[in-house]
Formats: sequence, C-alpha cells, structure tokens
Amino acid sequence: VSNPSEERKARQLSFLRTAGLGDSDIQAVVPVLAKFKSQYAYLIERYNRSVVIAKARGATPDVATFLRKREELVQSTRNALGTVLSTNGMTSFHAHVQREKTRMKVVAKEGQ
Amino acid sequence: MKTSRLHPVWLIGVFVLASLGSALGQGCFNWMIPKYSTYATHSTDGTRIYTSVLVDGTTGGSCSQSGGCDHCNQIMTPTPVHTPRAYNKLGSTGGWSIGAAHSWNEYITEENDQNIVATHGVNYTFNASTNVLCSVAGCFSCITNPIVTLRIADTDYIFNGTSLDTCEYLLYCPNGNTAATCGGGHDRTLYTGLRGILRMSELSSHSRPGGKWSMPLCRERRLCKHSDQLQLEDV
Repeated sequence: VSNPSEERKARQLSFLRTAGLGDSDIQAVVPVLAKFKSQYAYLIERYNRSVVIAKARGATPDVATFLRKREELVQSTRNALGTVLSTNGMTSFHAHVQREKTRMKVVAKEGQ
Repeated sequence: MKTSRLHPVWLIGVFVLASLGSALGQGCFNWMIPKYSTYATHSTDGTRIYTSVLVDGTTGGSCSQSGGCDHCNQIMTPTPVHTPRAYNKLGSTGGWSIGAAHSWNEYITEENDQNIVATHGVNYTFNASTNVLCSVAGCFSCITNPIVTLRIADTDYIFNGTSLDTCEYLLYCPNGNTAATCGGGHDRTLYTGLRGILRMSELSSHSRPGGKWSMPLCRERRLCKHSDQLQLEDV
C-alpha cells in the first residue's frame, strides 16, 4: 500500500466514507490501515515459512501462536485507531465494522 | 486396423484416483479442519461501484491411522496443495481470480476487487463466491453468496433548520409521503451553513428476488456531514 494505484486510493476512500469518516479522520486512518496490512502480510509470510520448517522436521506447525499474534495485531490496530480518530469517527467506524460482520462468513472456528 | 493405446499419464491418473477413491471412501479427509473466512462487500463514491471478495485462512489437523485413515502416505505424497479462489462479478465485469497454491496447512489469502462506472438508478448484479481447491480432496470450504442487486440511488434531503451547531435535513419526498419514518438521525458534525436541498448518492442493495430497496420513500431525519458538501445541489 506504500504506492497504491489511483484505483486503490479511490476504492479505499469510498469504503472509508461509507464507514462514516470525514476528511480529517480519513487522513489519519490511512497510514494505520497501511501498517496493519503490511504487518498482517509479514505475519502470514513468517507463519508459512514456519510450516515449511516444521514439515522438514516432521513437526506440527504452531498455528495457535500465529492466531494469537494475529489477534494481538488486530487489537493494537484498534488501539491505534482509537488514538488517531475523533470520537465520532471511532464510533462510526466501530458501527460500520459491526454492520459489515453480516457480510463475513467463517467456515470453521479458529483454533478448533 | 487402428490399435487403441492407453496413455501412461491417464493410467497413472486412474491408479491415483483409485487409491484416493478408497481413501476417500474411508473418510480420509475428515482430519482436515478448514479454518477459512470469506468477506464480500460493496461501496460507491457516487460515480463508481466498488466490490471486493476475499477468502483467507488455513487448514488444521493431521493425518493419522489413529484418526481413522490408513492411507496417509498416499494422501500426503506429494504434499497436498490448497489454492484460494474468489469470484467477483459486478454486472458484466470480473470473474474468478486464483491465488497462489500453497501447502495444505499454510495460510492462504486471495482478494478479487472489481469496479464499474455506474449509471444512477440502474441495477447491477453482484455475484460473489469463494472456495479453496484441494489438490486431493477437491472443492474445499466452498461458499456461494446470494446474488445482490446494487444501484446508486439519488436521494434528496431538504434543509429543516439548525439546532446549536448542527443542521438538520429531512428526506425530500417528491410524492409527498412523509407519514412513514425510517432510520433516525445519522452522523453529526459541525454546522457548515448548508442550505436548500442536499443530494446524497448512496448505494442501495437487496439480495432477495423481489426484495425491497433499503432506501424507501419515507421521512428520514438526517444531520449534515462535512463530506456531504461534495454532493450539494444548487437550489
């Protein structure tokens, strides 16, 4: 996301406006989301490397640790959003996430 | 006379399929625990409609004789791979996107984004599906969402006065229907001095055949937002 295309910028702006954020909140939230995305990608890459290593050793990969770190990343991102967003912006963003959950489906429980 | 020959690749394929068939018959894939999430969403900026479809997750479990599978060596050699796929069709734009294949227990993710320039008031279908294709077990974690119909709806609000630092708008109903109420106040920001009729371009959607649009002709109270100035229509 360090150099997103114009289409991606417009897309992100559209979704953030739909989330009820004003201009100043949008400016504040974009770097937080970019950081989340890069850290999430790094977590996945690191976990997948650990799967390869575990396979070579005949061991089981540690998915529980990966899921815990992912949860920590989500929580720290929420904390960062709470710091940079206005009170109204955070309320709108939270309400938007709750609404969007109806569009998310989980095939099986994590950590099952 | 032409002699019929069986291609060696076909023979190998039949052998592998026969082996897997017996493995499958004994529930040899039950030990795979899918842990995938999917997300399909849409948005608009008043000119374009944007849609995103995402699948993300991994598979847990381990193949073992004690787990009820006597064919783990056959199944795990070579290591099964999982490929994430996301289908995003917006109107006539888009289709399947296929992510990189990874070892069955690696974490995989695939996102398919589409957008179109939309004519206001015209309906567009949004069709979203995701699945993970397992090289030995076939379609895994397959989800097809109901087809959603989207359109950009223009809705007029009329200025209804101010209260302290906020201005208030009512849905401006050309048909005079003001008896019904819906929603209630939305977001609130500082008073920006807006007057007259405010035109909002918002995305309406429904996913049931014959279902009603979410933007009804009814009375709705709306407080102005700074960003709404972009949609301001001259009186």
